[in-house]
Amino acid sequence: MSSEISQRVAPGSWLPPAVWRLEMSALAFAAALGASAPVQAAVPCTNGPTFNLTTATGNISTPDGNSVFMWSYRNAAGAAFQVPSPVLCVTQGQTVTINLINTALPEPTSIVFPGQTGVGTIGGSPGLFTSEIGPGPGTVTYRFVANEPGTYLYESGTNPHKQVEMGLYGVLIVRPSVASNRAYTDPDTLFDTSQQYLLLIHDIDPFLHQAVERGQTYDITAKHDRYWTINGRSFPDTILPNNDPLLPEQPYGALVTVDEVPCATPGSGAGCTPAGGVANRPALVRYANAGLSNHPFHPHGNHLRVIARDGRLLAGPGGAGIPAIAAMEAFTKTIGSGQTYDLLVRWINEQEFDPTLNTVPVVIPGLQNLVFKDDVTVYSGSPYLGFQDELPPAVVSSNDCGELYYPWHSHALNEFNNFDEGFGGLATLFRVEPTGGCP
Amino acid sequence: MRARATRINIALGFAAFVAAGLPFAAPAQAVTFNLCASPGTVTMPDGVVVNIWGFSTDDGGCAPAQLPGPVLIVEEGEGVTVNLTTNTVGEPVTLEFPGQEGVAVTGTSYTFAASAPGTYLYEAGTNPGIQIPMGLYGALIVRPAGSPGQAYGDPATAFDVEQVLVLSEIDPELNNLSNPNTFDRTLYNPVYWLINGEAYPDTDPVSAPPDSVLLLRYLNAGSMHHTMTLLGLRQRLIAVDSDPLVDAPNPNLSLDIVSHTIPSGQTADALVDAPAAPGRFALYNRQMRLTNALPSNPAHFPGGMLTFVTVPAQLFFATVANTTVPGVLSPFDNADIYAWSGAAFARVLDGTGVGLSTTATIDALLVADFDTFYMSFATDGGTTVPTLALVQDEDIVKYDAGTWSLYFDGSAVGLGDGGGEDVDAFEILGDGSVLISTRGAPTVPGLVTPPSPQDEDLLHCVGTFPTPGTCMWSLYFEGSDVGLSTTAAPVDEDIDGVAVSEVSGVDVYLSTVGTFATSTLSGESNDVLVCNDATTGPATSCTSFSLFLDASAEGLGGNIGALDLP
Repeated sequence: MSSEISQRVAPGSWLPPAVWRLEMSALAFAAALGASAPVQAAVPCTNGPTFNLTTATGNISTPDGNSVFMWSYRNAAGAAFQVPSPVLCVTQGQTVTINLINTALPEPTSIVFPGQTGVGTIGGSPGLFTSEIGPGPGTVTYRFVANEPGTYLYESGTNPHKQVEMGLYGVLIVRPSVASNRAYTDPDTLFDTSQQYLLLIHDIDPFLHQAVERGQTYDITAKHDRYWTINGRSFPDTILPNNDPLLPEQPYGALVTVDEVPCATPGSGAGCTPAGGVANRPALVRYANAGLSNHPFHPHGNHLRVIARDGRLLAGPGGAGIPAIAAMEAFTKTIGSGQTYDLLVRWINEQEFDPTLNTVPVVIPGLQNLVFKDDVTVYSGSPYLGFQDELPPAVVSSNDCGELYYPWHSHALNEFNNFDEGFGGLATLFRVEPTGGCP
Repeated sequence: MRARATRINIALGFAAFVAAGLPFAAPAQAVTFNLCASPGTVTMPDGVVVNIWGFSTDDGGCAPAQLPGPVLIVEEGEGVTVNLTTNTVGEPVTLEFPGQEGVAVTGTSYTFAASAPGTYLYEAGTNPGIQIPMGLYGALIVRPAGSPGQAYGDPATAFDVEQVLVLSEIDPELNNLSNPNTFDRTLYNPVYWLINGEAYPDTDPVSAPPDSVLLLRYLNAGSMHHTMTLLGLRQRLIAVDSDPLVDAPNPNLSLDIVSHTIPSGQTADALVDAPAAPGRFALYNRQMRLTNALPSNPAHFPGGMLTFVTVPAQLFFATVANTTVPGVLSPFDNADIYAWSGAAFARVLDGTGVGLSTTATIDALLVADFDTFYMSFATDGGTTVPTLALVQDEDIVKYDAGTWSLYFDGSAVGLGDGGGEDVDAFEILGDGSVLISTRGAPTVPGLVTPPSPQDEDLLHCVGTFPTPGTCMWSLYFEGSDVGLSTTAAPVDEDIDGVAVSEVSGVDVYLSTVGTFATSTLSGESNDVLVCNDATTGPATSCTSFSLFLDASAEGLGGNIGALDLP
């Protein structure tokens, strides 16, 4: 069975000095957390197999109080501008039809479907990569059979050095025809459908966007990123829920939430066989990099099982199937520009630390020795999963029920900020709740 | 692909082994390459000339420096000798062979056994931080012993065609210094992104026959990582740094991927299944290194590290009615232009997508590029074309990347408004002159008659178009001379499509309005016949006839009304 390594102690309660410094603005983080705890942000689908998309322009918000002008696709019927573009979901074997009208851009546009074969077009005029549609009422149609399940990008094929930067990107998810609770046909890709997450990465040079907004020269050779986003948001906005009223143009959160998975036999300790059953299936995390740079994504404190790349299961000894899949346990995966990966994650409580029965083998710092920058935290006050305890006076915690948090972030630490304001950018949190979830 | 270096094969003598009583072993092949390192130049698509230092072949004299250097191809197990015979770059140059083991150096002679198949770089080993960006690099291919049609001696790595793709960059601030060694490398800032030493649109397309397996050999000779995406197809990664991911009897660990990052100095091999239908599939740097120089440069975009995997068309055509074309998405339109690869069909132009109405009918065409088409229409009363208003059936218009223009004004050259003088076939010859055929028997000024031109003839207009747009007319092809003259339904040998190949002699490709029968060949209205090795002019003859396209055998019904050769 899987061999994901559980975290033995809760992070945030103790950390080797100098490994982690919480350098975030109090306002941003407090605003992100609000008065209530973060809730999970599962993948929100627009279901096909026919989609009607239009182009749209608008602004996104960044946690440092800035706004960036963007271009994107949106669902045609009465939908609002959003970044990223809608997540399109279909089932393997369906004929996917995407009708695109370009109402909002000052130049022609198009959609390309990396990873799909046999894409045909109807209408539109011949463009460098595919048929394109100019500004106006006309429609270009793209049609293909979604032969294989997986996670795929869709993005502009016109002036891509400008249009993909500007935000014309999204994800297409193809569910296997055999079952919708598997990532791929293989039964070993079964996952908990209430725990399916998308981390769609992008990078932004706001001065390029400003040039487009002002009709000035667009110089991709001068691209120098200041913002990095997951699902269109920068940390800490990534941990807000889907459709948060603070971020009307950025409807998708990126908080990854799982319940702990116990050992099948309590007390087995490290390396135990995890409990099975539907409730203990792994979460599915879909990575996609629509940005123009390669990004090394680091699920800090956890190993994830990489099961697929660019929409194809990784094969292994025996040819297929976990444990036959030679999938990698990885704690950092460089997601190349244009790549996707699918990963399974479980947090297995091997150690079963408990405040009375099995204490952590370290001295917990006294309250007077704990410092929380800007006096905000998600830490519960206790290193034990499911427990909360005292925090220093004046520290505000938004911890719900003793859940644990890990930062998942780009390990290119220059991307871990919002325009040089620390602890932002290409990051989100991984939230581990005790069995049964927080009430 | 750049010119390959000449191999000098030296077989080891047999006699010495036998005479000494040693056990006879099959002698290893050996191969020698003689290379020069010389200064030279390359020209970017914007006309900027960049200094390079490049390898080239020494065939008794140095060929001009090339970028990248010559592709060296050897076989697994061969003893390889590379002699750097000449170095005129102005500083010492040595060679490195990353991935080769046991490279022995004697002076400027490098020897090693090519022990493992794969795709390798060879490059400068002295002052590499300057010499490699200046261009001293090339590809070394080691073929598996006994199985040249496989990349790695495993049937899972078999291929039909291959393409070396050397990725690199140029910062002209470095290359064009009189002494490149004075360059501050911390300021390295490339503005040209190259595949095999060229930037788009000067990159060569990667051509693959229909239903073939294409091997892409990536080598990153640059200083930066490059992430390459293939659109519309997938690539199966079979090796990284010539370490195969397939290795029978171990499982196939190859990866079926879209986008792959090739770090600086690394190589990667990927197989692509080319489809049956004609098409062009972008292979490009997904970090969007798709520009040349700065935005002020007219050749700025599209540019850079971009090429196309192409299944070429053998023929372009339009149909008389809205005929179903197999394998192509509906709706079908006689204002669409289709292509045939020899194996399957594709649409290359959607007529209504570029602003033609559904009632427009293309009855003559020429395809110049993926976004450049010439066409004539069938409707006697005129066809509405965006920005040109009403265009007559004796005119030829040009669509060029969204812009419509009048290319050939029929009435200005003596073709009238009547339906009989509708241009229903045309070709533009290599010298720019125009061939036409008309729906009926045309009358044009200055034409020597008899014979009077008929609808089964081709007229030749010598002139330049669109301006001044006047014709010196002559008879190019007289159909009746070769058995094409009948009009008695269903036979109608009125020419309604023409293309001329001038590759070797003159071959005239034709389509007719109805069925046709020459002395040796008969066929349908949707067939394409060839008058091979033609003698043109008033005494027309064809050395032979052949059937280029038997449309019904390919599943295509209806009637072809216009055609062109790529």
